[in-house]
Amino acid sequence: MEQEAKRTKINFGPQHPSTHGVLNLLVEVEGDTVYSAEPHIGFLHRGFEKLAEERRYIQFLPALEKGDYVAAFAWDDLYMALLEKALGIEIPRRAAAIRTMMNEVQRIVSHLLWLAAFGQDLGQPTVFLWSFREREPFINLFEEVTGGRLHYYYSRPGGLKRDVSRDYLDRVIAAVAKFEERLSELEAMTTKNIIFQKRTKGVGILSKEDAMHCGVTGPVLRASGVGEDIRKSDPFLMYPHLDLKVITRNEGDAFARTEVRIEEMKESARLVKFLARTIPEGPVMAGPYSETASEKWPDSMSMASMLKVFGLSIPQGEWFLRHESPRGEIAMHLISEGGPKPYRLRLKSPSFCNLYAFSRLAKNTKIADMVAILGSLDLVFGEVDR
Amino acid sequence: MAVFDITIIIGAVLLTLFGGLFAAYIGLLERKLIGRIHSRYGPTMVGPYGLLQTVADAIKFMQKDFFVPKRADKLLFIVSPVFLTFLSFLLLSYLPWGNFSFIVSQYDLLIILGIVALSPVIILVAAWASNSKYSSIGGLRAVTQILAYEGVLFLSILPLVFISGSFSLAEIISAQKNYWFMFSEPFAFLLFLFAVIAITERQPFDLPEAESELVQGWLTEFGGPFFAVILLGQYIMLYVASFLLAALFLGGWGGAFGWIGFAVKVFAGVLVFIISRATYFRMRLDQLLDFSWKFLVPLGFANFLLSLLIVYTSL
Amino acid sequence: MEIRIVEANNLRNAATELKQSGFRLLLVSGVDWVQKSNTYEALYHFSKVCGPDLVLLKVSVPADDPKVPSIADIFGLADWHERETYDLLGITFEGHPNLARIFLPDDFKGHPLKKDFIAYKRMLPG
Repeated sequence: MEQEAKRTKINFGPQHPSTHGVLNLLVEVEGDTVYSAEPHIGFLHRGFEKLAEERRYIQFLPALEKGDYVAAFAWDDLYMALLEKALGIEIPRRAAAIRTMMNEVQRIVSHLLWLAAFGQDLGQPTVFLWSFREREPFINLFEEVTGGRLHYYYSRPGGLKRDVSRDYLDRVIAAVAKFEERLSELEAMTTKNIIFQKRTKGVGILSKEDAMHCGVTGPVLRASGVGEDIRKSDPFLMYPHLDLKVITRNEGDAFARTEVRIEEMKESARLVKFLARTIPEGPVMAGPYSETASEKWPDSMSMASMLKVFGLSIPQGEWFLRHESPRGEIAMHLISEGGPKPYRLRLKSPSFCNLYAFSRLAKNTKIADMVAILGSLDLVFGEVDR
Repeated sequence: MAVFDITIIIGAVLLTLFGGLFAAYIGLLERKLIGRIHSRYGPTMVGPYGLLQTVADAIKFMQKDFFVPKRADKLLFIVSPVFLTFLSFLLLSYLPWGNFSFIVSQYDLLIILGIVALSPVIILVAAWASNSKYSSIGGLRAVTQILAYEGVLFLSILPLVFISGSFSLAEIISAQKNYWFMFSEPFAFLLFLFAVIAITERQPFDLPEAESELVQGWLTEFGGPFFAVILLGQYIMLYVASFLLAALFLGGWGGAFGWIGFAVKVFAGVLVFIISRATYFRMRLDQLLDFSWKFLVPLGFANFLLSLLIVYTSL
Repeated sequence: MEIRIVEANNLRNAATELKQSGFRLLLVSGVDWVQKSNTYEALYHFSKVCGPDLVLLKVSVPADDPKVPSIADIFGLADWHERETYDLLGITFEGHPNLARIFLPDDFKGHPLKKDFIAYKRMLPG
């Protein structure tokens, strides 16, 4: 047909400045209009689930954090919580509070990175640099206590590797307070900037029915009107005791998703300040592996305690746990036949679910809009491909 | 006659040098200023305070491979970027430099506009000669954008021409004796700003070069020396745009400020362009075109008629 | 978490019933039980929308003919998850609109998540 003869199929990616990682989009274009965009993934597939079967439980943790490399703590926390559930260990309240606080700081850091990448896609490197500037204090704080800026390995089965000092918590509060002031600058650059609004309002509208059908999670789902937040629906750690506001919007466009994430950053900031002030005293590890906490250093560095954690073995059974990462709902299903290695460890990644919705959203849009939609979904390809 | 020729030749050489140096140092200023807006330093390593950065970049570009894609039209591929930059330098030669100008004409503004109107054709040729999908999409976008904003450009300048009664830059400047046109023709000023940013393809109207979407748009296939030449041409256009802004709307070199004041005005124009680059997101093509055809062009006509009315009723 | 064992031919009914009771699909997975009971198992995790209730449907299929009906039209999310399970484990989903490999190249031979697929030339110590 003559109409279709004018359309060309272009490859966007896998190497492309604006596909956030390795994504190949097979796009059918005519002029500036995109008729369909089919995502091809798998370029970053590292076989995590197969890896998990070949590794002892504690050995898999570093590999797991490389999945979602932007919000590594959320997965770190989920995995350890799953192991604790399987072993029947109850972590001390101090550890739960610190983990919750770190989760929320991770949420701020991850949303800032998303904002940076999104602004860059829409053509404004200023937002990129300002967001990265805002991330620095938090990443330095992470590094101070966990040793890593992007990957932490902070949780242990039974609690946390290392305790935090009162002084550290005061500095967290100070950093968050400064961030809250600066957030208004970022908002002025984005949600209050007229060109940003024109580029994102009405773009990539995901209706409530489509959102439920495609199974999207996280801020994308909340921006389409469904108030599903695992921290509220199926709470974990200290969330049952926290008064958390679930932020939703009804429009379902890219602007709504931006607003949801920015409001979530504000909410997380508030929670971090609250948690940092009210962390209960107490030990930071409980259970049979608590010698490996560095309170007991240098004993914790002894061969015996290391071997004990390496030898962690889970009895036969299956367990399932889900948490809320900055991207959405993360979950793990563990099937164990006894022994130090899992029989099957299944990971659910929110970016994978959100990317599925993309092929629906990108029909009959403009190229520029397609890029904006892809950016607004907050995809991390380590997580998509596992 | 011989003396006349030598003056022209020396002047041409100096002008080319000026063009090159301007492009180099304004490019550096842009990078450093935008860097500061971004909370970072910008180039600092090469030379004291990074002053030799553009020299290093120029050398880098020139020593790169002279690469013409296999299926590209070789002659047009090589000629079109050079011709585009030639057009920019041609524009430069119509602008006065102090009291000296190469070409003095009663219609110099009109000729400048005419040369500017040639650029979309050359861009189209360059894009077509590249023979690549990204280039053709970028080329079509660039041409659509420039054509939309040329109308706005002409409409913004028309009232000035009628008020001052001439197409000559010198006479337009002397017509601003009492008030700068920025104040007496504010709408024309706004229209001119938008038009000029769109025609020089600077942010927020840089869709044809949208890095995050189409690699580099119509410039995609031009690497190394070609890219340096195109970049040079673009910075010269920036100078021409700032010059026109200062001459047409900020009182030019007349009045109390003279030529030094004029240099400051040109610099202010350049700053406006640099800061708008750091602050605004890229507009989508159809939004850009809507803005032009549905808002700016009607505004331009209305402004022009209003200005005519005011001029003829007060005479 | 409620675990239900479902027959393959009853899967679509169970899924539709769950959808109507306000559940949403979380995950579709597969497990290789070939060495233990000569079967594959497909797992379907559901959760109540905005609630903590969880339901897990397990469907067992024989190893020599691992076919499960697809629920991709009931729950759009199942589309890619079923492709992933097919890609990595070899379970075929009947009625799926586009059952192609999703992570691995189209000409890849074998299904890596199977227990008999040796992924490493050298096993890790311990």
